Amino acid sequence: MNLADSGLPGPPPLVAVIDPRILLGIFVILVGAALVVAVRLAQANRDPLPLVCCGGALVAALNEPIYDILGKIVYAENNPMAYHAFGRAIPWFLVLGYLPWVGLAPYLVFKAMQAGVTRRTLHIAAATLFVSVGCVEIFGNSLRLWTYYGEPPMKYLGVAPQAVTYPLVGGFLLYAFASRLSGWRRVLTGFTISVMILPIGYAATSWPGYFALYADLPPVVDWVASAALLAMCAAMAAGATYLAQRWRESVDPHGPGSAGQPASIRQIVFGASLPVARSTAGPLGKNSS
Amino acid sequence: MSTAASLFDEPTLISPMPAAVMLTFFGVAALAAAGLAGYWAVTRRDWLPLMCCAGAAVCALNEPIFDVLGKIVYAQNNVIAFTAFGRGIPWFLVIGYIPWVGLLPYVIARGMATGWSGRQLYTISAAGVLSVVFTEFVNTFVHAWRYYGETPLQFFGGVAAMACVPLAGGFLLYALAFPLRGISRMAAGFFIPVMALPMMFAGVGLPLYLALYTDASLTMRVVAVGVLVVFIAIANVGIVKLTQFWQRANLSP
Repeated sequence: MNLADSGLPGPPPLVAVIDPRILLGIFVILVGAALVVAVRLAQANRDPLPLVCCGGALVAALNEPIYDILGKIVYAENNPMAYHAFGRAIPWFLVLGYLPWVGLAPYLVFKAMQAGVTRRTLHIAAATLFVSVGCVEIFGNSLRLWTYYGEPPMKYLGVAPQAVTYPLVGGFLLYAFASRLSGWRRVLTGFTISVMILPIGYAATSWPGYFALYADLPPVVDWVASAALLAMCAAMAAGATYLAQRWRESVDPHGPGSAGQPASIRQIVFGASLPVARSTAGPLGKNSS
Repeated sequence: MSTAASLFDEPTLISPMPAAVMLTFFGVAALAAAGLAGYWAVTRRDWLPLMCCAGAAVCALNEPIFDVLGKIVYAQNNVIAFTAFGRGIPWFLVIGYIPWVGLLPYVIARGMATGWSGRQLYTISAAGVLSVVFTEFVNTFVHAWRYYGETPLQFFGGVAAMACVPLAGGFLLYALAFPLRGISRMAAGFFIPVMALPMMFAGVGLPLYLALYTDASLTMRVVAVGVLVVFIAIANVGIVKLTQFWQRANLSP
């Protein structure tokens, strides 16, 4: 099972032990729920941004084969496939899965940051996301819907740890850029951020793991590379929340979330009168709503 | 569409010039950068510039990933530093990371801290790109590397994305590392250059990589380059705007 000419190991053949349409059905329900939330958010705030983020996330799914090859991930051949690129077939469930995780989640993080949710709470939410993705991974692997064909410990770090990076980085970028814009600039910025955040999170934090997966290194170096991957995921998440906190302190130092005024979930998600809306001008002299 | 096998295949290249030419060219730049970083570390009593250079050297381990994706190949008679992903990465490239990925972001971060304007930041970004263009010009005589993608994609594998790498690294050092002291400052100084290059190359590079690995028509290839350039421009403008905000709000010492 070697790639021609290069001697690099190729993915093993894989067939799911259950009908993969069941998985697709589960994801369709998840994506449907995420779309309903995005539409309601768009209507409540009279803002197309949540829908634009979901659209950008679907385009970002074109990154998938790059990180599947680098992370040595392969999907069951009997999955319904959405497209082929880089010699890999990418299943529909995965493309659709980008919508809630890469599209909607960063938007919700943005609203949470804007509402003054503390860094600690954001970190707990990120850790919860990490665990939830880990549970999905155990489910998918055990049913052979997909598998990691690299060496441990790197093979266990291909997806779940990175789930703490792009929602927080995307949330900060939306907060810092899109929240200050309106009209087509807001739409274009939100779309571009959604397209870029997944490769930013994956490539920046995961390359030690990719390197170790494609090199014949001593086990201790594999463990060091894996520890570096985890540390960089944590550092990126902490960096994003730190920048968001600094940003918010300068834009609206007295809003909910500061000085012991926690924002409610309703304020975070649907609050049209969020604190930043009261702030008329940031340091750049533009409206900060 | 390319196959998984062809993803890692590359043409063979032999440079007509001795390997010492490029090694000397980049070696002088790397030595000068490391010397300057050392001087600043001593005179400013701050390890940050040296940590940035060390992080940049480690970041060079990313090179084969983006060489495969961007379809870049190096001459086999270069002096090879390491082999990964089926690619031999020459020493001149590894040490070349020190000035471009290590010291330049530190210089930019210092400039940001002292209030460099947007115009100055765009100028230094353009100067960084021009310096890479210069190395590409030198390479037209030396043939130490070659881009084997289709026209016009092969002209954008390395040069364009470098426009935002030093700026991104500079902003992250300015906003995250400068407020820190002690071990955490050193750790931030090391890891920011380690992450800045893959962050920006991967963030803006999708249209290029997709076009390079599909049977795209000339029109589609031109469109892909156009989207790449727009992404790079947006990234640059975004980083400069963010820096200006940080400066005016005095968010970093």
